Amino acid sequence: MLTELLTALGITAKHLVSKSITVRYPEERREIFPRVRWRHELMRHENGLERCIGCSLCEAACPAHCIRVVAEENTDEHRFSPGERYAKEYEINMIRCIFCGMCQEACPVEAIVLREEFELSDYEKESFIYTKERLLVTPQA
Amino acid sequence: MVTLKIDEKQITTTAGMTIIEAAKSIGIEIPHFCYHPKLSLSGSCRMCLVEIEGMPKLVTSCTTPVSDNMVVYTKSDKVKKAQEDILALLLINHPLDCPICDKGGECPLQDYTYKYGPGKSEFYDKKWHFEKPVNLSPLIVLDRERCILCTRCVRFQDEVAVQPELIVVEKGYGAYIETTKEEGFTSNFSGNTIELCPVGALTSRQYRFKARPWGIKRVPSVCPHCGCGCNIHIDVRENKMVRLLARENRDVDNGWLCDRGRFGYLFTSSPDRLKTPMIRKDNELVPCTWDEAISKAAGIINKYKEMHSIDSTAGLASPQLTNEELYIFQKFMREVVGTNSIDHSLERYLMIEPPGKTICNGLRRFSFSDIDEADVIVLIGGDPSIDLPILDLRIKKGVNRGAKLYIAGTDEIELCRFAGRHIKAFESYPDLMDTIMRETGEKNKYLVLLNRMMHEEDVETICACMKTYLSGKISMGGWISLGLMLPEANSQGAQDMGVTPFYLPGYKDTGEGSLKGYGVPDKVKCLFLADMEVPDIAGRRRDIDHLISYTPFLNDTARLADVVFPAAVFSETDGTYTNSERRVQRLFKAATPPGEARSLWYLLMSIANALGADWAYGSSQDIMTEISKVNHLYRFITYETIGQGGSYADGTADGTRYYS
Repeated sequence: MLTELLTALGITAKHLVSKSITVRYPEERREIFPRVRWRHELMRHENGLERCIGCSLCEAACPAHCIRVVAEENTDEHRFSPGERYAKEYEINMIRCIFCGMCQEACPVEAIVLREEFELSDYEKESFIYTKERLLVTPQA
Repeated sequence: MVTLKIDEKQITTTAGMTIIEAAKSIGIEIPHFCYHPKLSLSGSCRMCLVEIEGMPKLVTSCTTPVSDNMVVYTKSDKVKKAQEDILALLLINHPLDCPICDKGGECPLQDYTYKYGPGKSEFYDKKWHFEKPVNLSPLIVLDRERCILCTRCVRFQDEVAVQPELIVVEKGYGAYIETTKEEGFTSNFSGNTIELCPVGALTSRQYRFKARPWGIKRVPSVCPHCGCGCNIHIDVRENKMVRLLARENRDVDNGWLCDRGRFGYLFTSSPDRLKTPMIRKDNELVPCTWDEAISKAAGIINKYKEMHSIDSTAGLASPQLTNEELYIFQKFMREVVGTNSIDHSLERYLMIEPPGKTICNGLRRFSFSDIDEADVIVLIGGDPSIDLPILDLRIKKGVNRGAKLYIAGTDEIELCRFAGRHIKAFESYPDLMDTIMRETGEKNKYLVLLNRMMHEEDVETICACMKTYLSGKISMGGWISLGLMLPEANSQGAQDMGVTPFYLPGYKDTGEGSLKGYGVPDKVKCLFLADMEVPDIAGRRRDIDHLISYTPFLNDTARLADVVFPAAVFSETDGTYTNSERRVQRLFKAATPPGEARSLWYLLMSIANALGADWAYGSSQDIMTEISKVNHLYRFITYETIGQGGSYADGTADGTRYYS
């Protein structure tokens, strides 16, 4: 009986002096791996045109039904994406989103991607509906 | 009857049926593109190939009739390989457009490729290119790269619409679809090619990019644009209609829609729709609350009940309203307001239903399917191609089958090129019927279609002539069918519901002492307009003290009103329409009306209760229950029995279809 007691106390003592694995956020942060799935972004092509063609496959694939797409026709005067079709409205409800990445998998043109930014807290519930303006990346100069 | 085996399943079916139809009847799907049950056979796509025991090569199941002791395999290895190869060949030049193509999600090419196609492409060359998209008309968009040349569109225009406006030009590898007319694709039935096209080659300009098939709510309803009452599917996304599709009803529209019906829905989601009631204050119309408007309208009506004679109040209701709304309208005007001056038309119209008049006794009531069986079709005035377009298709089909068409009393119309005789002018109706009878003496199935500007005396004459000539024939299985071509969706319903100064619901007489005349009476002081526009109202406005308007838009008539109520349109209300063959069909609510707009029956119930009545209708179904008690023609009509195909409202349970 004494041996069991001493073994248990030994384990406690070992943990008392060893370094904890707690990551002390926000002073310390975890390492970001390349394929993490956090905040979405709508990407562009090299020439600045939006990649998104408004096909709504992401909307169909989303298991949480949190994406809303309204498509529109490109004209030569007002062109947003290559081809005939672009997304006039694109919204993701970030509260409903489960960050599964199915939209990213479904997208035929690699327009919607999930990137590393995960610090998305905000005060109002309405501000969690990310519109196209918030999701679209700025064109590279 | 022949007995054969398909995929080890025994089936006995009529001789002459093709294998694809026989397989469908026992639930076996054979993929196909160019085959369509309502069009002629093409056999060109080769997708429906099946293996028949004993035959060296695969055969097209769409063109091969069944025969006794045939053994068919639709899933053998040879057939599967053929299906993969055909799809691979079709996909060689088919563009990778699925994400941007409107057909995606409801595309047979996509679905068959998934089910029967090769898993991998072996194609590495360049695909063909055409200039795209091409606007064939303001309504139809053609994408030549996607076309698989099944020729369904070409055959539809040739055979069903009989307006050959599409052809395949060039041969072989460079073939593509082109219009025959310089003006483009102007046929009144062009929209049907969109539904026929198995790929996204022919698409709707109005629906372009508006929605995806999986995000749409589909509600069955009836088209509100003409007296045919074609069955439709209303597709709704986020409470707005995005498109209308045909819902097949063999007896009415046979699966087709005219362009007016298919594309005439954008008004329902117009931003100009009225959302709140309006009241006139300081000579200007301002928005107000529902209660304010109700009490103002009730006040006006009360004032008139006490002050003036009952004939100084009148009401007009649109023949596009549902039966339930029209019934409540006439009940409101007669019982609550106390006037008989109600109508659904600004002009005179013909009614052939009232009993006690012997004009149509013994004649058969018109059904659209009579056109399919008649030997002789007589059109007197009117133009079905404009007023009732689906009848135009049916008449063309009837003439093709062998019926003789007489067109009388009208100038050149579209159907004249199918007419046996076009009699522009005639001395008298007896003369006309005489001529027709003499020329067709040996026939015994006649269909006479009247237009609504005719007079009852003329109808009597026609009926008397027909009965004399054919008295012997009727007993030998012949018949005379008599129909009235009413152009609006529910003119027949309006007449049946008694929205006419001459009759109560069910054509009971209104009795003595009531003002009887069509349209707006001359001495009216207070006018209630339910979704009606009166073009010359501005000139008469000074004589009319009060105008109450129920309308979806603030049109010229409504701008002169004292109280304006926002209206719900046909897609926002449950109800029924009665079409020109007396078929009652159900409309289902597809979207909620904007703002505070409500159905007419709800509005009138609110005003009536504000004036002391105690109406307690919870839904349109309650109203139809009352109608079936009050109107003998509708006594067997209930929402349950109408079902999805409609029921005849002729006072009989089994639709014996004879005037009495």
